[in-house]
Amino acid sequence: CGFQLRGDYLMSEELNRMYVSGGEKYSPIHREVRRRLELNGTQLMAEPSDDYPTLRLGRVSRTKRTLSLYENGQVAEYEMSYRINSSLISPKHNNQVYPINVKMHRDFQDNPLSSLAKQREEDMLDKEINGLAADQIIRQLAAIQFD
Amino acid sequence: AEIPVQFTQCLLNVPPLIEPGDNALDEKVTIYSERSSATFENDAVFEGDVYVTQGNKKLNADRTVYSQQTNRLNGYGNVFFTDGLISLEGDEFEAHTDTDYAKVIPARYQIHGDTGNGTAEVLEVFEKSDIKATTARFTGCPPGDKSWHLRATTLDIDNEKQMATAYNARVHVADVPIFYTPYLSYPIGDQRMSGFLFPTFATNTKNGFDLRTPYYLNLAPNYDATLTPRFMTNRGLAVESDFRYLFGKNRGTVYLDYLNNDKLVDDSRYLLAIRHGANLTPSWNYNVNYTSVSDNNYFTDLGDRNGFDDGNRLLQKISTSYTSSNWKSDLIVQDMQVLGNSSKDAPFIIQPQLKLYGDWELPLGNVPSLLSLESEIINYSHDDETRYRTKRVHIEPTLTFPYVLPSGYVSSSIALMQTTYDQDIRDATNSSGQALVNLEDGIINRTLPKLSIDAGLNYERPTAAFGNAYTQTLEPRIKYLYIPYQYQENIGLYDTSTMQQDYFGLFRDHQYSGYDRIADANQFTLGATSRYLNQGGSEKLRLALGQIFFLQQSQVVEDWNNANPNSQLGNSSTSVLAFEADANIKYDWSAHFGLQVDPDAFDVNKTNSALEWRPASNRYIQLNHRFISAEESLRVNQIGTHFAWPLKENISLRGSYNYDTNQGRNVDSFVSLRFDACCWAIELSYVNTLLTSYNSDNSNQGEMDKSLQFKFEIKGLGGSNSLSSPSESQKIKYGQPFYLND
Amino acid sequence: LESDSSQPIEVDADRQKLEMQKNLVTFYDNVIAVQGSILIKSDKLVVQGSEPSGNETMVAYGNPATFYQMMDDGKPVNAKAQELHYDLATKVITLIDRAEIKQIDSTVNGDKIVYEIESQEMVATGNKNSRVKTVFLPSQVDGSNATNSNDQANGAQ
Repeated sequence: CGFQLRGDYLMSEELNRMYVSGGEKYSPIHREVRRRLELNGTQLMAEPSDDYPTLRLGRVSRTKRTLSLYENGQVAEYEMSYRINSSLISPKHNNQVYPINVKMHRDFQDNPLSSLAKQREEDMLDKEINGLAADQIIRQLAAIQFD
Repeated sequence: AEIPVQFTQCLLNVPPLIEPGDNALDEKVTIYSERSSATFENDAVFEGDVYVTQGNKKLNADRTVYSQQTNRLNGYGNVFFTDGLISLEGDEFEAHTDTDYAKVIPARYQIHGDTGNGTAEVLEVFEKSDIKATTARFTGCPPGDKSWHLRATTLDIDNEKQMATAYNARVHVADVPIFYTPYLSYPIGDQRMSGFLFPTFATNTKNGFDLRTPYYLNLAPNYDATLTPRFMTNRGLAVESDFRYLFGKNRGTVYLDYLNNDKLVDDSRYLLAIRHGANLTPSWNYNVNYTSVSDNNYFTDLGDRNGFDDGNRLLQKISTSYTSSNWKSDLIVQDMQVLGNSSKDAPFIIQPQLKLYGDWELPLGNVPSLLSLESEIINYSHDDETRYRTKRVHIEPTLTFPYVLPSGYVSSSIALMQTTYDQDIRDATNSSGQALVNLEDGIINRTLPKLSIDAGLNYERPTAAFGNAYTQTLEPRIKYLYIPYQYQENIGLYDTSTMQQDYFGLFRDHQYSGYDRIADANQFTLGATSRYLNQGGSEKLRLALGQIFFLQQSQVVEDWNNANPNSQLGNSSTSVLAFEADANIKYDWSAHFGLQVDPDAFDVNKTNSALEWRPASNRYIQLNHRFISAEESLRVNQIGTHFAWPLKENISLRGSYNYDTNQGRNVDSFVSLRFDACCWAIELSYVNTLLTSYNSDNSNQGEMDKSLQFKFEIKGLGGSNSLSSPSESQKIKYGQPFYLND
Repeated sequence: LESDSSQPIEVDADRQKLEMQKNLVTFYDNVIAVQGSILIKSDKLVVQGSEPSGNETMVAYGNPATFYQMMDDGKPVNAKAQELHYDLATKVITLIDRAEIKQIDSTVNGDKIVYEIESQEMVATGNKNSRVKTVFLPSQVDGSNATNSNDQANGAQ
């Protein structure tokens, strides 16, 4: 039916060397992005320079919105929205800035009777989102067309 | 966001913003005049309708004197100056042609590209056209519109930060002074923060007439306070206060609300909240997140002005964390005030919890692998002395072998989960009084290995739909998970409950959150995602379908069902079938549909769906439906709509209505009529929402709270002109539940 | 230069006409008058002699007539106009009709410009249809890129 495995190499050669900065240096999103870059064969440099681009990672901002209520008026479902605004700066293209903005959403059912357990579930969601957001950042990095 | 159409005519007679060229100062100065007398190398005097230009800068005056030595240019009489960023009129003028400095006495000014304008006795323009105006007036209204203005002894405008700061500021509405503050800073330009709403009036069934008048006190450069007296006819006078501070690396806010005597309850009521953070070093920080209220119905009665109520859980947590390249450690002490729970089923207190997480890349041969260690020591105690409690140590080393290609990945991992409890069983009954016969006092050990192999492939093909070309992806995924069985009903439930089974949930290693139950597993999870990506690479349609196939029923779930007769968990040969679809069909149509169905009994556990038509940014209609089948207190069947529609150029109608079909009643509805002038707005909004009943006897179950709110916003002083500025008591606010990654 | 006014004036032209009793000399076509560093070029030059000598007045007509002088500080002054009066006694140059006076980093155009060489005082006036235009380069511009119009003036005519 016309499907074939995606063959092209994931990242263009412009990105085989990169400096990753921004946000707290050891934050989870920072770790997840660095690991995926290394898995894709990108060499992570110790400091910025004009021969390779810099990926500036933003902070993960999370907002909660009520979606539905239980019969006693307490909140039944939340929508958790995560937003991470990052950018790639390429000195070789006279410091052109390529925005990399990621939005992730998950809905989450609360249970007023098991507060600690729901807090754990929320922490797990946050942890999973870091991985999925890192995938998205890598996918957008790979999609950049350097003119 | 594009400026709503009715605002463009506000900028009609406002000069456009022209950015200065980068070598604006090197450009030549050209002076036209009727007469000029000069000696080379020093002063030159020009008279008679003098017109001076340098790059974007232009100056008219009756007479000007230019000294080339000192680069001073002075103008006298009928002075008009502009530099593309601001225009000034006055009697006298001085400019330094080698820097960006200019001074006009007295001045009438107009900011370019923005409605901001006003007057000043002395107005100085500095580099990057920052402005300092003394005995100044400022208004965000277009020239000639006298709706409101601000008077201040000094007014500083920081053009780079787009912030203005007024000292001894008095706000006049139609020339009546309505508000004084010694210090006021507000955003200018287009990034207008919401926030500085002036006196707001509201009337609602609980509090009667409800008036708030905020006062801002700038006590010192690094700490300030906002005191807001709040008068309610039915309850009395309350004070809401925020103290913000910044000492060295410590910054934070203390919120204190106090109502001395609530006439309806005949008791005093308070809220205390602390948000404090400190980044001592790039690796080490600590913070305090504490909230407590005097009684369960505090938010229900007095509203939640700053989002303190996080799902009826008020966190009282102090934590410090240290991170290094391979390690992350957190030390936490936490209690929770849960609104509505009697003391018996209040959550356990964490006193303390030490979390340690580390990960290292291990080059085993040339296969990339990752060793991670998750460990935690925690002591759960409880206010109710009779309640069981425990100390718990959990250590979980995991070795993962991620193998990634553009065409797919295989990630296999082996882990060892070692947990030790030291339980102190005093009274083995749960919150609803049921005897927990299986709980075991003293030391319990649980050691469970875990094997998981997760593989996925990335297929792609060009395709076409709705008349344009897309790349369709098909991403099948399969995950095998094996965890052996160990009896766990002798362990109490501290931070464990079942988790949501949406598409992502199916691929998790655990059915339960927390550590107190680890279900045995011998299962395959099969799933597939298909995306339609347009040329720009953004998703226009995403479908996902997944299900778990259990090779063996989980014995832990069996034990759970035997122990909890009234909260049975599905334990058949397959899990729920989870299906999700998100689409942004044509530009202005979006849709979402989520389904979790139990294939054996073919009954629907959960669905959620939404459809939206949004022809313009300030014009939309959304319909949504959310359904959860559960026992009575946890079931949901809610139909909702949100809409926004401009009636006339600057009158817009917004609203929402959410109906609970199980109860057959409205649970949260809101309608607002907003009139937007260029620099002010009036919004009349009515909210009718279900009161959250926290009384254990459910005495006020089903009571509605009706409130009418009148908001007068001044735009240009930080007043928000965002369409979605929600009123406080509205629970289900507008949002777009269409989860596409563009 | 300071010494210019004490220098003899030499005039070179294709034709000249002498009117002894009026003590008047008129030079025609490619007239070049030199006094020290002062250089006046014009199509027609009328010199009114004076007793004692040194107080002559010269009127140069050209399209335009040009004036050049090197100042003591090494900065040349170039001027031009349709009609150029030079009064040696008062050392005042009066430029009439499309007058322009130029120095390293400033240029003045007007209908009439009166320029006193001694004090370097200069007064320009416009008329109803042409106003005085003065152009300065901010002094922090280093000498190297003085406006090219200055060099062009040296190669006058």
